[in-house]
Amino acid sequence: MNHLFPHFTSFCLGFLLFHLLAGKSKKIGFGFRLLLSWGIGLGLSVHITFYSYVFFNQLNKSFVIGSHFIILLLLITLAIIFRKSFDHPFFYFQKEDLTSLGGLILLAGFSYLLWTFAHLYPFGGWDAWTTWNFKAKFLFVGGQQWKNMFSPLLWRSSPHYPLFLPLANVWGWIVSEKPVYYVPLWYSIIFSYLTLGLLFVGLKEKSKTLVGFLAALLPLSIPLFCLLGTSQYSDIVLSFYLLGSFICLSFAEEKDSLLMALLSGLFLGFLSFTKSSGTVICGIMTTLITFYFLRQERKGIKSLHLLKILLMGVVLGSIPTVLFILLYSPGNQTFVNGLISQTHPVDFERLKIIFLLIGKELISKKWGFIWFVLLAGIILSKGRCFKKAKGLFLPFLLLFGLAVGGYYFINTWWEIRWFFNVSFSRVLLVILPSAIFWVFSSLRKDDRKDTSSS
Amino acid sequence: MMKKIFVTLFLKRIFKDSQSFFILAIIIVLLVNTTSIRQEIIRNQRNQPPFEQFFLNTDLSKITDNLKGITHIGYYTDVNILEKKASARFSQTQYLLVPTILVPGNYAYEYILLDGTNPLKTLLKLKELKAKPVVMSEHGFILARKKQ
Repeated sequence: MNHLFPHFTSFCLGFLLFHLLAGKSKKIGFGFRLLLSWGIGLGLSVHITFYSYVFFNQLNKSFVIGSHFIILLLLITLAIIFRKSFDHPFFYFQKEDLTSLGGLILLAGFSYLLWTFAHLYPFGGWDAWTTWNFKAKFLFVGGQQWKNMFSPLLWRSSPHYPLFLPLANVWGWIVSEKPVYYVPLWYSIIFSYLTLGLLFVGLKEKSKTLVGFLAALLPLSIPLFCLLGTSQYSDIVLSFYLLGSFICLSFAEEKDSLLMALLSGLFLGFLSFTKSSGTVICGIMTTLITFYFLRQERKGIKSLHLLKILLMGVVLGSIPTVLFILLYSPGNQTFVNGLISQTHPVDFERLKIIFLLIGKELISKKWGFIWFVLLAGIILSKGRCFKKAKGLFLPFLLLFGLAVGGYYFINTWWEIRWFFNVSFSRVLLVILPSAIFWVFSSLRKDDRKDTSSS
Repeated sequence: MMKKIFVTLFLKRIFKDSQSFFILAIIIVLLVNTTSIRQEIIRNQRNQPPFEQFFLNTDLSKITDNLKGITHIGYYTDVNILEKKASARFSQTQYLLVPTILVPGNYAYEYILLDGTNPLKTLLKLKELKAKPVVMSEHGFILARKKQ
């Protein structure tokens, strides 16, 4: 179990930081605090590990472990110094937290399914050993040659992809001192569980009912979700942070919480470092949120303070992404612009296939009817899905869909069917948990309450 | 007429008590999916996964020991590397030999990793490259060094 020690350290880091940031804000449910802290801690550990490469041009284990240790000590000291100025103790547990804790334990029991799927392919899927684990191993054993992994010769490993998951694996390997296969395997299970858990506690926190538990079971009942979640790809990490950001945004507006605004921005920054599509998502979401809050401000609803803090979070969270793009990324090696290419030009047939295959994928049985359920939920929400900050999810879907579809159309390096065989289901995996939160959180209120609030 | 009334009332009821109907729909979907997930696990556990999805967990430490400090080596195979199975084998070998980069089809490097399916063809290639085997590993990998 040694390999879980770094993970536990990250969690402690996140929990302490969350406690300090929460300060005088209202009490937040234990389960919700637990999972958000986990996300913050892992993101911080990845940042620290990345700076080892920036400052020392290699993995400097003393720097990484030492930095964790120093930050931990600093946070503990600050928590002790400021303990009297906080409205709540360091470790508080309310009676109603028992249900969310019980739900999380039960969900962990159901997550035996994730364990089973993860062990079907213990070394992960194709992209695990060509891309994510490959990069992690390069970072871990490459010494000062680590930058060779950006060589165009390694185009199969998509050298332009950001490094969140590989760095998380490197951090996990620090104790085992070898790139052992079970660290990425554990990460895939943990991130899948965190995503489902966050979906549950997020909905529990919002509606104070247990409907969220059913919502969390929905993806778990789909074999494709379990398989893709545990295939050791970066998509589940992106999925987790997108969900986290969306939930925090919703609470930031609802409770006028600066802490939630900061976390929403921070998670957007983290997800920009997970994949190229994550960077695109970060850009789209940040733009949409900015326009939304500015419009609210113009309507006379004070939102500028939330926007400022959220943008600060985005900036802090995406520092590694900016450094990666400026200093290391060799650019996309598998891109041919079909609009100007003589040899691989785009054609109308490609566009037709894209629309056809998107439809085919959404109605496919492999998704366990989930898209139909969500569509029914949107209809039954009677328009609540499109109100307040939650309503941003629809323009986000449209813009992200446009970006993905546009990329599939223009990049003629790959056969269009390859995109759909390999990549599109992962795009859906990324948005699924957030889409479930979007729909379920819109159904929670009864009509009477909603009318009075509007 | 009756049908119309029934449909109208039924739909009205759904919209009035949307959350209950939605939960009912979810429970049905969960039950249906539970059967399919069980079948999927049984199917995966019974059947051997296709080669390209299964990791070649071979020990290449003898080869890596000889490649310390070597950043690039050539990679020879007698099958089309763009074919799925060969591509998977190449990528998995590349993963196992990190941080050394394999360059398929380029024999200008001092070291060449030969990964042939036909021993005779591989020997002929060795001769053609004027290279000497340094180490052989399981699964038929040969690390050869070219005469300087």
